[in-house]
Amino acid sequence: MRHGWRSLQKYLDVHDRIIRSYHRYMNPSKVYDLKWETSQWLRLSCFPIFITTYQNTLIRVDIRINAEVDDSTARPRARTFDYTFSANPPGKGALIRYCSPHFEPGTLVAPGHHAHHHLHDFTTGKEIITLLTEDARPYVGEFLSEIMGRF
Amino acid sequence: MKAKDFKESEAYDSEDTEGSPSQLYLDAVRLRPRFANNADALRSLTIRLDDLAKNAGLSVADFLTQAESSSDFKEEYLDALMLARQIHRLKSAI
Repeated sequence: MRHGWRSLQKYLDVHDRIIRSYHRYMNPSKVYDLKWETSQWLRLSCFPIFITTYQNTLIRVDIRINAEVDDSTARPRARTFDYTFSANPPGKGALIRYCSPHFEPGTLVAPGHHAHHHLHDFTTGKEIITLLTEDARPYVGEFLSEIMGRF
Repeated sequence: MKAKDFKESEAYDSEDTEGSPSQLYLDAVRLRPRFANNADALRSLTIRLDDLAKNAGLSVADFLTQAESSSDFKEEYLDALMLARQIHRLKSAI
C-alpha cells in the first residue's frame, strides 16, 4: 500500500529530505514545523513556501499534514491521515489544492467529492474538482514536482 | 539536476535500514504533546475553529463552505479545513 504505515523515523526522514531537496528553489528555505497534538497524533506544517518553478514563476505553496502515530510497539509507526497541499500566486488567488476527505461540520456526512481524496483546480478560471483514489493521492514530493513543472 | 531525483515512493519502498536520523525525527523525539488526551485536544481545536468563523462573521458551517470553495486560498481557510478534519477525527476517536 502506497500510503501505509512506515516507521516513524523513516516517515519523518523522508519528509525532511523531500523538503530539503527543494531548498535551492525556495526563498527563504523552509523546513517542517512539527507539533505533537497528542501522543498518537503529529502535525507537520510547512508554509508559506515561496518557490520559483522551472519556468521561473514564483508560487506560494502551503503543506499541512496530520500524521497518525502508532506508539504501541517499541518501534513507533506513522502514516498520513489528513492533508491539504495548496499552491497559489503570492498574495491572492488559487491554483490547485489537494485535499484528503472531509465531513460536514458536526456530522458523519461527506457529500459528493468530500468523501474522497480530491483535487481543486482553479487554473482555467473555473473550479474543476477531480476525485482521487487512495493510491493516486500525491506524496508531498509529487505535489512539489507538479508545481515545479506545471507553472 | 532537478529536485525530483529523490522520490518518496522509492525511499519508502527501499529495504534500507534507517541511517542517521533527520533533524525532524530528532525534534519529534524531543518534543512532548500539547494535549494530554483527545478530549482536551477536541475542546481546544473546536474553540479555534469557532473563533475563525466568528472573525469572518459566519457560522462554522458557512465558513467551512466558503473555505472549501473559495478561489482565494487564504491561510484562515486552509487552517479551518484542517481543523474541521481534526475535530471530526477526534470526535470519532472519543
